[in-house]
Amino acid sequence: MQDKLEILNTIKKVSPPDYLYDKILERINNNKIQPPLVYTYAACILLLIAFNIFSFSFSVDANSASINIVDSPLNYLSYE
Amino acid sequence: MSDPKAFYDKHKTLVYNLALNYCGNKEDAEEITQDVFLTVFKKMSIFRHESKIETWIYRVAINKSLDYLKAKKRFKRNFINDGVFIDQVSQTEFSDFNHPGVLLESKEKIQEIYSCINKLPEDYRTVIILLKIENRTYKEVSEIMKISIKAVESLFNRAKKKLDSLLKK
Repeated sequence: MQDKLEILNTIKKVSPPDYLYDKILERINNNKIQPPLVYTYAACILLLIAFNIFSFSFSVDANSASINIVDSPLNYLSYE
Repeated sequence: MSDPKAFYDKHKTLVYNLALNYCGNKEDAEEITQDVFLTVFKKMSIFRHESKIETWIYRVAINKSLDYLKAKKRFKRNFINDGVFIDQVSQTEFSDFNHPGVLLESKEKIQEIYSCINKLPEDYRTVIILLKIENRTYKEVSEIMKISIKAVESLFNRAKKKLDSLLKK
């Protein structure tokens, strides 16, 4: 068994390619850009929620107004 | 860290070769090396110097390599149709063996051993890679793996037996 594993000693050490450090720097810079992007997405979602709340409350008001018209005892036609 | 480039130059060969020894090909080793240095640069400020910096880098590199291989395995399992057995999937794992440090005349034999090493449990794999490929001492391996020297010896013996049985199959 030991002999079988001895062949692993023939594996030579190799150097990584030169461009690898640039790739690491690129990834570090990309990670730095991420937080503002996250804030932008958060702001967009908050705006959407605010818009939804606003439109929902407006539609409730509109509905209640229409109900008032229907429930109104005044019927001008009946006086003609 | 005063000079990241100098730090990278000092440790790049260690990290890259360890990653190569886990995954067996250049492309994956490059990905793992990037992940290791990103983590090391990020966590350098909280490193407490309780162990040697090289020991810590070894630990980060081992964890990143194992995580990368697990993620790759998961991706392959999802990608291959449900009807394929797990044994068939593990056979495909070392089909992309492309270790630049392996001589052409011994490539076939080493690929066979690597394929069997890759089927071992994680701690068996780590102890064989550190002792037999990285040529670390038992003391260094015990520090890296955070276990006693006796435990390293026993782990290595069990790993050898298991590897031997896999090679005989």
